[in-house]
Amino acid sequence: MDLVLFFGRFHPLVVHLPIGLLTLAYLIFFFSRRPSFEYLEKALGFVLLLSTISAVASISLGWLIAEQGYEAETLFRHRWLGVSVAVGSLSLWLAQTRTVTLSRRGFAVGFHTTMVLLVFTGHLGGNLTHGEGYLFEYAPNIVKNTFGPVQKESIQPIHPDSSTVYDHLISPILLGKCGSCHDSEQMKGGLDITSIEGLTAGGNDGSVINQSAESSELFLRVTLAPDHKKFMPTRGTPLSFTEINLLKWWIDNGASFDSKLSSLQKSGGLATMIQNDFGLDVKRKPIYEVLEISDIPDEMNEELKELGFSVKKIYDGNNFLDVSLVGLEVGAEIPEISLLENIGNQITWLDLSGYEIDNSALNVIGEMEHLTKLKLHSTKITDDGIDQLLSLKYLESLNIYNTEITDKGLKKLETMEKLKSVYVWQTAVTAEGISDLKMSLPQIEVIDGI
Amino acid sequence: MSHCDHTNSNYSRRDFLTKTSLGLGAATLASFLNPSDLVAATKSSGLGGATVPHFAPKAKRVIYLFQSGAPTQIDLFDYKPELSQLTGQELPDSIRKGQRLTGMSAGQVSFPVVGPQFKFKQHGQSGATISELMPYTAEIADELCFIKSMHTDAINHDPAITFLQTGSQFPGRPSVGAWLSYGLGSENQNLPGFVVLVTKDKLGQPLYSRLWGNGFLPSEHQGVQFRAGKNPVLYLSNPPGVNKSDRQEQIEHLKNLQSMQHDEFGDPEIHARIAQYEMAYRMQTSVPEVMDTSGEPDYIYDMYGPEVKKPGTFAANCLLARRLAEKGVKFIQLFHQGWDQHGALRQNLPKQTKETDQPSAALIKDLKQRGMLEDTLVIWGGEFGRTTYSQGDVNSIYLGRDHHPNCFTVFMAGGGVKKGYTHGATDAFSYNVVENPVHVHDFNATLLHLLGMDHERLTYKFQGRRHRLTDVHGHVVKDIIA
Repeated sequence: MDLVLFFGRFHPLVVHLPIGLLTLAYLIFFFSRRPSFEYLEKALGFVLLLSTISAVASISLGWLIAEQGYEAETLFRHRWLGVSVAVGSLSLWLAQTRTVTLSRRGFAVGFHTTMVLLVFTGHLGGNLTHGEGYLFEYAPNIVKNTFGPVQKESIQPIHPDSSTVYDHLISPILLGKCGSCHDSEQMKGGLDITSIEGLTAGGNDGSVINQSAESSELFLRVTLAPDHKKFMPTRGTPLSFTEINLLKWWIDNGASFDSKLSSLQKSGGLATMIQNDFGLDVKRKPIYEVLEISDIPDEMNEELKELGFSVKKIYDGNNFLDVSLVGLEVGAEIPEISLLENIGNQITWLDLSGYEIDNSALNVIGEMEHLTKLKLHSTKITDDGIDQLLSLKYLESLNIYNTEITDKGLKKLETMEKLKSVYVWQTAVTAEGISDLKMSLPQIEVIDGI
Repeated sequence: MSHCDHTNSNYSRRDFLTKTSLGLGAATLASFLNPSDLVAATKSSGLGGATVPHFAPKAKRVIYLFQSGAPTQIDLFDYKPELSQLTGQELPDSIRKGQRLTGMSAGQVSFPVVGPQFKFKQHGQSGATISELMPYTAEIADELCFIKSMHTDAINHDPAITFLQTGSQFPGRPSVGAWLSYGLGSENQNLPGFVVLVTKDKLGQPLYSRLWGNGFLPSEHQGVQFRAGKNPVLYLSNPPGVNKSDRQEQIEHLKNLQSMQHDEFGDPEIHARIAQYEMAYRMQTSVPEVMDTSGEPDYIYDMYGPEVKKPGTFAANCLLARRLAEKGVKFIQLFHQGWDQHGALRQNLPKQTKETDQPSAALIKDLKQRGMLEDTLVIWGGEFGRTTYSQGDVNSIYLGRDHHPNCFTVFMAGGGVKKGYTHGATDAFSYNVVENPVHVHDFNATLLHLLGMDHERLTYKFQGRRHRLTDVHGHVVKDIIA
């Protein structure tokens, strides 16, 4: 095997001989038509003989290096195009030496065809060695777009809720790094890694996935020292740091074939790796990035602005709104809060703090289904008003500092499971009240004066 | 054509023919090459820029406490205990790697290492190492996100601070605050989107107004400096004898004149000028109101420390920063000079920290109790770091440290960054970054990202190409985002 590859690696060197010689023959063929170069005609047969011999030699070497493993489809085309070039060269030589008869026209057509085949063979050979896209990598854009290889579709950012660990992360790794040998056809070591059945069945030595990563061959073999004879993959790029970590995490979590990415516990490091390598943002997303909602009419927006509301979309292309009274002139009349009723569904951030607002306004606010952040500090709301807010099922942050809220009002919040922070500085809320709330909502942060 | 008619000569016959033939031809060609260009050109509003973030913002505003002069990372945050044993020994070439030095220490025969000059302790659950000089900052260690692997290209103050502020070492580009004002607009129509507060009467490396300038962006996006004293904004109040309604009438009339001029020339800068006149008029009411801190209760004053009642101090500016943030100002930048300890580090560093430590920490706490830290990003840091080797005699009690671009520390709080987190690390000498380097462009890209702006999409076309804050560089540091 080693000797095969040793010789095989002379293929890229030797292959330049038939390329050069055939090109030389082609030039001779053209020039010898002119009277002043007519004498070249005599050399054509000889050069074609040499190019045929060298083509056969480089094909033989090529057959050897093919053992090394290349992208199968390109290799197939390169191999048989190469053979056809040699056949072309041989036929041209035979015709030139009159061993076979070929019309002058037929000879010319044959020669052109052989040259075209030569160019394609060479190009594919280059792609095999340097990777697809090598030739056009630095080409001007216009050339690249016209001739370059079609951009491979990158992994689309998929929603963590809808992607399974096996289908979207593990399977692509196994297919890419192991699938060329451990597929259903070759099944090296008796293992077919390309299907769920094959993976569960294991290889000649039994199962490859066990309780923990450390006891699973699938993990052990890719983490051996690279020069260990059992190291996998035997050729090609080894698994990356992220890939190995993902594999370990997947096996340690039970190697399930259908669990969702969002359902498994991820350490912070792994989340970053998944994000960096796969463009998959596995962080929990706020409601306004998950749901879609209709746009409000422009007139309504203008109308609200006229009245003194600041109404802004959360971000470009998202119809959820950030509404506040920031910038309302001092002493200006506060617009009727009930005017927000029509856009209640769209509001996700609302800031009415510092203005003359009492419990009566909370009716309207309680109807704003998608509210996540609510600032009502320095207003006249009281404990009774809190009842109206309990229907806000997505509320994450509630700012009620500098109000008349007491422990009684705070306690009412205990049913709001999404709530993450409550600001109660400058209220009558006590330390007991806070710890009481934390009993029911352990994840909550209640911020008092600091 | 008479001389008086010169404004009409904007379009002479020759101009007309050149512009219509060449111009239309070019426009047609351009639309073939990239049809979206034509649409994009018509889409931009009169005052430039979008006013909606590109994606969901983590922070709605920034308070940037700029420590001008370059605070020493070794004596404040980047604790290297092993260095104390090495004090006096030569900095190994394997560490310095031929790094270029400033003219101030390049002539030194030797570069003896100097360990941290002050005691360190770990603080909070996060175990952040913070110098004894910053006891108040230490108290809130678990709120902070340290980047210990900042590095920059410049080795002198002005290029370095210009680089951090504008993404270029050469003056002339818009500052980060101007970019944000251009990108996000102002929340409060009565105050500018970008306000600058400079600590009064500090000596040190000079600061120029171009550091908060608009560069080639429309001029209403430049930072407006609020000063201590009777006239926070220069030339804002009415001259004697002019009352408010006169002023209003005057501005109204001026606007009409300028609009006529705009119809004539179409120069967008005329709109910018009108916007600024109107803003100045509104600021006549809004600025005194926001600058008047007399309504603040005593316990708030106490938080910010003894200097808070002295207008123009860092403490007073921190308090103002909070008030401005409450009013919806997007970008508030404080500058505090005097961190340039080439000598007498042991004597002068404590003075600097005394002026800044308590107010900075108080600002963060004050924002937190008001629920504003959720969407306000606070940044504390300078333009580069200081050397591990001594500038001047290592045995002198007046030793100092020279400029060091290869590593420095900044910290942030709130606004969507991780709490109690340290990103990146330096080698044992605090000389080179060995883990997760964050370049100035990466830092600025991250800053924009936290505010919902894609640093690659926030562009302005000038002199034939689209400019960005991060030029053609910058990677968002996702690891620090909560």
